[in-house]
Amino acid sequence: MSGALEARTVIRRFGGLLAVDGVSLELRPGEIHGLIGPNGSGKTTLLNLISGYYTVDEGSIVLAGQDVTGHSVRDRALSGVARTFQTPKLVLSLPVLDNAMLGGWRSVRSGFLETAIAAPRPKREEAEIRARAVDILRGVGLGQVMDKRADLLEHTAQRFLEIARALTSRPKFVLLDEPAGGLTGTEIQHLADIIGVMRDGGIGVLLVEHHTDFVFRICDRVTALNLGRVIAHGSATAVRNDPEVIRVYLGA
Amino acid sequence: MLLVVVSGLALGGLYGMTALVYNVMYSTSKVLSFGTGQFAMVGGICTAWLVLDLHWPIWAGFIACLVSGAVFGWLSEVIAVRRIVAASDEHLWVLSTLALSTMVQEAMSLIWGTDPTPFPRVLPQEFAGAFDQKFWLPMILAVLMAVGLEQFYRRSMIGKLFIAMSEDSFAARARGVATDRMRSLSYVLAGVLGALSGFAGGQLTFADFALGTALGLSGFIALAVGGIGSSVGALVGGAILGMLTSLTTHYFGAEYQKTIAIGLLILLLVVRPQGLFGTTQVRQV
Amino acid sequence: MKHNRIRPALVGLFALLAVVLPFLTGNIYYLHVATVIGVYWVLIATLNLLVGFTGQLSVGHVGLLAIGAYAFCLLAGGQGWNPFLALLSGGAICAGIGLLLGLPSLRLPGFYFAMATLAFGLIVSELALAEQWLTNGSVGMPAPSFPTPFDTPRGFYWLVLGIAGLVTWMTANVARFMWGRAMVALRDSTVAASSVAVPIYRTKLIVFVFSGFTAGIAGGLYATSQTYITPDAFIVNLGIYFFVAIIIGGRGVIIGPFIGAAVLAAIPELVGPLAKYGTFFYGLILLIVVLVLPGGFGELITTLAARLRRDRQSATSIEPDLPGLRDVIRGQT
Repeated sequence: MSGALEARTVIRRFGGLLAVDGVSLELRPGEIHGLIGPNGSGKTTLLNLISGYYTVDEGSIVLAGQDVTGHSVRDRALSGVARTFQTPKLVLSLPVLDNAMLGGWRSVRSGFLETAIAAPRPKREEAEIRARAVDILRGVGLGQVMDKRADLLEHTAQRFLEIARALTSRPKFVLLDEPAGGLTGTEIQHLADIIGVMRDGGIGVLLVEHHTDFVFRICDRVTALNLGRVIAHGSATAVRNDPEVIRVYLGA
Repeated sequence: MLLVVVSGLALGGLYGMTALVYNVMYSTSKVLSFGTGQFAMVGGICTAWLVLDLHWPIWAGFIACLVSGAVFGWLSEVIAVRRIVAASDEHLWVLSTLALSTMVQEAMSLIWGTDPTPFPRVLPQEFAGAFDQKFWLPMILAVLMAVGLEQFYRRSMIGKLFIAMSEDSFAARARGVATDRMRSLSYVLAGVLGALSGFAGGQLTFADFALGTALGLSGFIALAVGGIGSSVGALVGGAILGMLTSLTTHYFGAEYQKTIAIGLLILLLVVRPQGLFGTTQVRQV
Repeated sequence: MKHNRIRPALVGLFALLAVVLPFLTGNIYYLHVATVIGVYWVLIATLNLLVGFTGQLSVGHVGLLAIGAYAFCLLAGGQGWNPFLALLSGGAICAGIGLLLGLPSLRLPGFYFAMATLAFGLIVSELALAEQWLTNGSVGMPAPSFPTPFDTPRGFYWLVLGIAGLVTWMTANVARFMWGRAMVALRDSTVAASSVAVPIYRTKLIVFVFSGFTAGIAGGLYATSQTYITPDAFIVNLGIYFFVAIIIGGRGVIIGPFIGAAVLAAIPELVGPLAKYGTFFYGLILLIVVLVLPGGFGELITTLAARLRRDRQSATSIEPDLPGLRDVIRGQT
């Protein structure tokens, strides 16, 4: 599928343990794709493989038809793959706005010396990124706290800030690593709304989650893993009703 | 030429012992202390002062030397490491150990003075030359120290706890190991070993306030060459650096010692960052 | 970044005071101290970018100061070059050496890098003493002065002030635009930095080379300020002093390290007989700051300011503006 971010029969071992065993997953632009599985099913490992934090042992990662298996985290970020982390990885000594603006680094073309002499281009880029980040922060609901230091934010706000940073980078794909962790019902609804807007804007969202209700509620397609293998994939309804999925989640 | 080889190996023994001291502290705290060389300096100056100025017998000076090392080891853990380890910000222990090391060195230069002073004879010996004890003491002691440490790690309960902590200190604590006390103990041990190396090497290096920094650097290079965590590596790394230093001094003069040493370090870190026998991942980006 | 937007009025006032300083005090000695602070600041301002912002602990930066000083003396004095050309060349040489030093060592963990720079500093002072054909060894060499009007104490002070001002302006620019954020991200969270595509190694290298360049220039200015240089002016203790000034002043701010540098430079000058205890106290202060106030006094001030503004950790009620978000995303991808 053109323009998709894919994992193709990816295998990853840790020592003797087969964490991901021949998994394929296709994340299309403009879809919300859920990735579910019990603890130890390999979903976070798969996320790390797609975003580049782990290298694959076998198989490949493909972005819009181009093989990116050997690409670093940074290269993939440059190609428009953004992600959030299970525990938010923010720059705690900087304010909220600056953290969000960091996402804009991808579009910075100014060099070091150019910046040192306050040339027109760095000034322009700064203003553009600032405007974008401000709009996005307001959009996700953090407009009131833009000048607050990131370490003074409580957990939920930090999560939304990470999403704001990802969005500031004009991503093609956003990989969310258990974003609903620790969120209240209202906050989960806000999260769902935001993810919906992302999808409507053409971004491909991979949602790795434990909250299976949440996943089935908002996802277009779902891939379910167990013990490193895909046990079901397809539309959310189909996967939700898949007997194997039911057995793994509700069975013994 | 025999003299060149022997002095090279002797220096190597001293550097190797310093590398071992680095290892002991690193195992329980994952900290590479800037002040590692200062134990030898303190021990050496303490001994020189007690034996030469106060005329203590050499065995009493020896014991006092080890005690001074123990005290400083304990102090450096309490002051520079304990609070930092809890904070888990990597940069900080580099700064705190650097600060403490600077303070110790400066204090010593003010109290003792800046002229290197000769070190007393440990064993009665009339002759000099290639069989001078100033060469053989560091060599023999380095080997003994390495062997002793390996036995300690393998046979004794405490040694095994050190190994457990170095592999996974979180798990060790979860299993009930008193990690704070173990770390403190390891630093005391490091201090004793460091002071011992200062005693053994004193006749070679003289009692000198500046010894600490130089030894800390050379010991670190030996450690990097040999690989962090390996006792054999420490000795081999020390021997390589020692021989290189000695040969360089012989052919080119003493001024280029450090240049050659860091050249070796940089070459090694580019080619094989984990050292010859090391296992830890060193390369970052 | 807000805490780096030094209020223009304060800056203007300070600049004014700095410019008229020679008229305020007739004492040549105080002027000399101010000049030396300015020279140190040329080095410290960019070292601050390396240490305080990017988090690379270069302990041995004094080695570059030494190389800059000797290069300047040799080129402008022995070879008769134009002093300004010699100054820039010294800077370029040090930038090149910074590149050579940084290429292998910036890939390594913090301790290795610190050790490598420490070794570099020790080597430079060792070679300065040993390479008599180049440096005259322990005898040292005289430093040329700049052409009129910069050959008087006042004139030279203004030259240093101008250069220091320029360097400060440049570092402040880097700090307040995207590069500054990228550097802080690098320091605090390499995971965050690489996830937004900051080139970690390349950034460290660029900052290191830039700080090498200004260190070289500072070296040349230092030589002139002392009128005669010897190897023992460039001992490692001086490098530690630079370092401590930055850490005390606070990482990630500009004003803090400046105050740190000024205070630490002024103290030995003012308390003459206690000067030899200087390094001991630098170590002590560094230890206390690291244990109690890791962010340095700069962070203490910003934290107090935040406290006064009542920035507390408080629950944020998150109310997304979905239509606005929709517009922003639609406009982008």
